[in-house]
Amino acid sequence: MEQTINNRILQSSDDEFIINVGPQHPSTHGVLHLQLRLDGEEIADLKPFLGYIHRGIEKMCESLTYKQFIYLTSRMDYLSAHINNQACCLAIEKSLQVEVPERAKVIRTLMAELTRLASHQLWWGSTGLDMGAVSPFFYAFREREMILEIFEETCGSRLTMNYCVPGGVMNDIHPDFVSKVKKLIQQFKANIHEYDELLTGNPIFQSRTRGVGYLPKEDAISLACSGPVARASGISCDVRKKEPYDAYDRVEFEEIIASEGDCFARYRVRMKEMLESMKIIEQLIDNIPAGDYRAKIKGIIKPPAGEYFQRVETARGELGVFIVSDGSNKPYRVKFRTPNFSNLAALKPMSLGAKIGDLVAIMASLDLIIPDIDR
Amino acid sequence: MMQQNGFEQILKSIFPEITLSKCAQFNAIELKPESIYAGLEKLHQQSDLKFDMLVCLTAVDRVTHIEVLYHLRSTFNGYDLIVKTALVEQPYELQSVVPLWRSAELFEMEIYDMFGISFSGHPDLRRLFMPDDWEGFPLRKSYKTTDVADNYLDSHKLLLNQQE
Amino acid sequence: MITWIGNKLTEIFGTTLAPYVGYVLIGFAIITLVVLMAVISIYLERKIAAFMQMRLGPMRVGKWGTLQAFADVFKLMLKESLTPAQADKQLFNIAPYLVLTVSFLAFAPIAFSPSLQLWDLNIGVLYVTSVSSVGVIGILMAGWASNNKYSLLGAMRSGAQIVSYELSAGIAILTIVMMSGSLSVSGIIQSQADGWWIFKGHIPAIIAFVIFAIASTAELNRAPFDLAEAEQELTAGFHTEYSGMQFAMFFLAEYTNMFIVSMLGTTLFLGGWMPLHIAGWESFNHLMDKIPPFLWFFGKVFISLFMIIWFRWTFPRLRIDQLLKLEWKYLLPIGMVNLVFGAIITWLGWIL
Repeated sequence: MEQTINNRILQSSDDEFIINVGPQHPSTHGVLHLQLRLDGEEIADLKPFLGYIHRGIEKMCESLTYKQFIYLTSRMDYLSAHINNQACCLAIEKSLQVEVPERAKVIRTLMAELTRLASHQLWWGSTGLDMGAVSPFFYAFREREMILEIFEETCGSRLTMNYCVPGGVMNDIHPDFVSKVKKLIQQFKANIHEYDELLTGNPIFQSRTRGVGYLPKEDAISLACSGPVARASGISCDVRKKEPYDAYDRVEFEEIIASEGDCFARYRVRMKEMLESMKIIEQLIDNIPAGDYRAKIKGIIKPPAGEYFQRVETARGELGVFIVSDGSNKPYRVKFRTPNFSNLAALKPMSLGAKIGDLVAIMASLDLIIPDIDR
Repeated sequence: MMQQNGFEQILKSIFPEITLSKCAQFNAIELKPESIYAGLEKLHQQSDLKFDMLVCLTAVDRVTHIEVLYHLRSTFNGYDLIVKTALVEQPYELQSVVPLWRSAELFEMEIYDMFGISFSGHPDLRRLFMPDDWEGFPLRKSYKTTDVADNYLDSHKLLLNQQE
Repeated sequence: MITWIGNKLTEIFGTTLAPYVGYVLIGFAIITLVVLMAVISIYLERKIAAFMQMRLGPMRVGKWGTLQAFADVFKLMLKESLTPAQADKQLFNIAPYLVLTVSFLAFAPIAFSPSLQLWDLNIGVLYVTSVSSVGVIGILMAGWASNNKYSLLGAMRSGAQIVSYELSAGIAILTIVMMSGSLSVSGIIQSQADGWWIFKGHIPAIIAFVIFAIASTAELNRAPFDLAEAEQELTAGFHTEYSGMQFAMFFLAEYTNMFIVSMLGTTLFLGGWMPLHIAGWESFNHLMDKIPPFLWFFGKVFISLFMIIWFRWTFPRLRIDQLLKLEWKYLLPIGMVNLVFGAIITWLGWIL
């Protein structure tokens, strides 16, 4: 027992001290527990401790049917809940070889981009908050609220929407959906300059993020980073481009890549991604094809025995769903390759030698969602 | 398809006796547990393949054996490859691949926690999600969820009572 | 009216006791005034912050939430003041009182209007700066005694910050002291009868005002310089372990200090209680004279207060090394050059 306890404590010399950040701490956005060894204000060592919100989702999936387990994934990365569901549905559809109706594909893509937009807006607000600027948070929530209202109308809930089902979507879109999304686009475009004025152009914000938390390209590859974190280090890794799923093959958008690899690069990548999401929504919103919103699927799903894998791009990076089926109505094994789990590993190399204030900036730029790490 | 043939040839040149199979939509090869590190090192260093990213590392309990899957990706040419290995005898042990890919550090910790496979040469192998005094490895098929949870709660109730 | 009260007191208590009773009454009056102003500024801060963030702010207690701050004070009074088990109990309990006492002390030489000044000290400005720098000892005590690493880090940051920014604030004040040729508060205000220093002091006065604004915000430990209590980094910094009334003391001290800094700034740069005069506009000047001096004074104080609040809700926080860099590499050299420049201007008699 003593051995295991020693395992959990960093060793420190006389002029250094150990400080625990979390599990309850304002800037960890959840129950992340980091142990820091500090030399004055500088971080000499860092060790993450996980499991505070481990719910065993992978184990639970083994005792649920295919239709049921999809909705557990909303609780992983709760800010891109729809995209998680979409990944599971795509994997199941692949196993059943179901052709999803065009209408469903477009609706799913629209919802996924709206989710990404909402997620990035929350990230933008909380980045400001972490840096000590409180006001941006409220400006971010102004547009986010509109998106959540659109979700509420169509799906019945705001955050964990559970809108995807194998074969399509749960129900058709609300009659007001198109007009509301158009209004959102209009308002977002009119307000985006406020985002830049409040935070991006602020000299204090720039000095806090430029050159801070540098992640070289080689490190980002070795640490298997994905999403905006990897793209800010110059890796092209957007799954929407590499392996287009649903309606991504028919829209034009740019994959945002920066080469600086610092916090400000990650910030800019996400800011530009919001505009790209906007572009995708604009292209699709006028061309939602008519037809069914769901393919006919049997009540009990029994995929043939084998392995199925689907990856999608969530707001934070690459989510891989790996399903092993033994031919029964319950999956034999489900593995979620979550983006935050790998991105967390980048925290240590980035923050060694940095100040405590930098650690907060780095964590904000990684945009970690702890339930997604612990699962 | 040309790509596929070329890829197969390069693999054959490294591992002459290997058969290329499929796992989900990816190419897969199977290696022996003893030679897993050497094989992966070749895949990591071979100049034509250069699998520089370990996207995922996971395991599946097949009851008779535990299958460990390494999902490799090359950022140079976009190849994906799954390397499988089967662990039959207890205690399950593998050589750590942290020297090749740093992302393996957390993945291996998770597998140790969930399947009880110990990785020799891992810098900090501890239970990642479960408490340190947790018994059993949750993602094994032999693990009975109800008993273990009850036992754990009982033992902690006892502890609490003693403290009072 | 003051002489009337004095006569009444002598009638009741006799000549020996009367001054002491008078002091006690003045003490009570000033503490009530300070607390009232702090409460008003808390309300103001919350409302201004809310309007900047497209919210309404407190709306429930009283009309437009005006009584919210009082409700908060009562809530804090009723809460238990906890002392952590491993804390240094004496220091832990003294610290908040020390911080608050110091900020009350600094009120003594402030002139609210021509006749309303507690103590017209001939080194009034020096007194305010020296007394207010004792406050950092209270913060260090609180951080050390809490036996919490976050508190200690916050206190260390606060110490480094206040010690360095005091230099710049001092040099900025010195510029004005040199121009007006007086260290007493009333003397400095009198020297601005023909124009406020910010208008007639040329560029050195404006630079000094900017430096004073930055340095005093830093001394207040308020955003963007709120590193000592940086919520996202150190949870609450030096007052992490405080609760109830002891926490309220720190809170009150912060807002009191805000007032002192605003008052000092008003006295030094904005002419204290002097009305706004524009040369040549006789009727305008006459109209301005009609407004009572204490309204002028508090009007200016609230404008500077608004500025401090504005800073807080717009800027992100600096990092500790950037904070020190700003002081030692920019503000202090600029301040020194500015002081020399100001001295030359004063020597040549270029003051308007």
